[in-house]
Amino acid sequence: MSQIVLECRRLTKAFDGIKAVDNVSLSVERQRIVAIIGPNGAGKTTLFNLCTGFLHPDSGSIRFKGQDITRLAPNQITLLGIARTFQDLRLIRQMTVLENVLLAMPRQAGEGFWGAIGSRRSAREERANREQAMAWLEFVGLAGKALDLAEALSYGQQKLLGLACCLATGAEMLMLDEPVAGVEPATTDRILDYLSRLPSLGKTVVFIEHNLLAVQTVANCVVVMDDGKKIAEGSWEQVSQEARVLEAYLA
Amino acid sequence: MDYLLHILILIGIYLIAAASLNFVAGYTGLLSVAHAAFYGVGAYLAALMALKLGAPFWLSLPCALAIAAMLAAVVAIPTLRVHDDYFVIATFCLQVIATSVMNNWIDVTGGPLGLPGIPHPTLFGVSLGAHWQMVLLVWAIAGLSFWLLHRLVSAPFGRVLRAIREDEVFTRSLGKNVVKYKVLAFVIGAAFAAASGSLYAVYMTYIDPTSFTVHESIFMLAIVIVGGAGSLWGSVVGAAVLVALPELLRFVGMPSAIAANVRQILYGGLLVGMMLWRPQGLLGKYRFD
Repeated sequence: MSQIVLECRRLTKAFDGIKAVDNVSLSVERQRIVAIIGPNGAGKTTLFNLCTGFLHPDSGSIRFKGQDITRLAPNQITLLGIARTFQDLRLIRQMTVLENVLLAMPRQAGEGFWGAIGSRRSAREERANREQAMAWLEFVGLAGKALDLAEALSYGQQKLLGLACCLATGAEMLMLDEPVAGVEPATTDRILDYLSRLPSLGKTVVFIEHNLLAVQTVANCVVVMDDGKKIAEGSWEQVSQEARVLEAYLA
Repeated sequence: MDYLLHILILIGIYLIAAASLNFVAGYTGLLSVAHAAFYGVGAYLAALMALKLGAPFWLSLPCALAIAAMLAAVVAIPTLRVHDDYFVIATFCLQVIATSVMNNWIDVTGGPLGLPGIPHPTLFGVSLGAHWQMVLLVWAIAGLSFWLLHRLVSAPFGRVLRAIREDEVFTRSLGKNVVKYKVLAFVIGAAFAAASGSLYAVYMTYIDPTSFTVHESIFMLAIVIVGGAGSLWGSVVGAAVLVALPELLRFVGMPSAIAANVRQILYGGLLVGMMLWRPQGLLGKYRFD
């Protein structure tokens, strides 16, 4: 049981009476790659928002490594170890690539008032963080762009930067909202390659994706949602055979 | 000569006010139009502590800073719950309330008549009444303020502020306590505004509510915009330009009754011109879009 890092129990969230997430339970094991698929409006992003504190459920609970995080704020949850990306690609566009990654680093002394004014320690810390940030940029293949503004990157590169920021938070679990949507094939392959390497770095990944080829390639486990409910869960081979899944996709 | 020193003193005072407003509005993206309210709080506190308690400036300055900071922390709670345009309106209300208190709490503030006879600060028993002495005092405090603000914005602390300005949601998702930073920025800005106001009071020796209205807030904002939002050096340049520029009108022999109006036209024209040709300000880089 200790292998389960994230445990959602009977989560429900309604907007104006419409249940966007309806009684969903989900367990994610350590160092797994879980894909969440389903038609538009199935409640996938809402489920992400619940797990990362951007929304709070009407009922149900969420535990991360045994700790109840149901009511915590997004920033607290990130520091505990769940980081996320957004479907509508969020970055600090008018900052350099390197600054974006530096921003993501957790618990910096220089981010406090006294730490910023008092000098030496935070200068040393910043140097160490720069090295670490460059290492993450190296990992996603953006080291050569470190000093460019984030807005100068191509769409696919921005997705990679989003991933680097997510990794730089130090979070053990990454929730990626459509990591390859709208990205050209070559970069898609790169992103999928990086994703498949994350478990070996001790990370657990949950991602939403419409690109079923991508899901097939990297996911160990697939969760299918429709109309706010979880309708299937299992390996790709299992869920792709289920009548309800085919129905949800074809209907 | 005293006239030039007078201009230099005013530039120093506005430098502190504008740099601290830049910290709040230019770096953190909190477009406050209540900066003159905190500037006024500093001025009235310095004046009242000197007049009623006989406190020296060296004591009233930190008191003014602390009280303005506390006041800012209290008003930040309701004000920072709203965003963007609503935040501007909330700070506008705050500014109107502050002016109204200055005008109507006559027992304390003297109402529209103001507070005359504020003593100059003293150092080792010597009154700093001469212009050159005030230049040194104002610019010493301005230098220190600038150094502190510069330190904050160039540290990782400032990186978080700039991130909040551009995307609060993303910044929260990276584990930053956005609310804490916004309150902190607002409070720090208010404290420096109060320092600036205290200097104004002890330099002018007379204050009344007309110096602390929303017009003054907008003037400070104009310095920030002209100099460049998100550039502290820009605020130095902006303060110099906007304080010194209207003084040129004196030299072309314009009667003061007309000059006062021309000055407003000048400010308006300058702002429109900047928006058209250099919206990021003289030294700024950041685009608000």
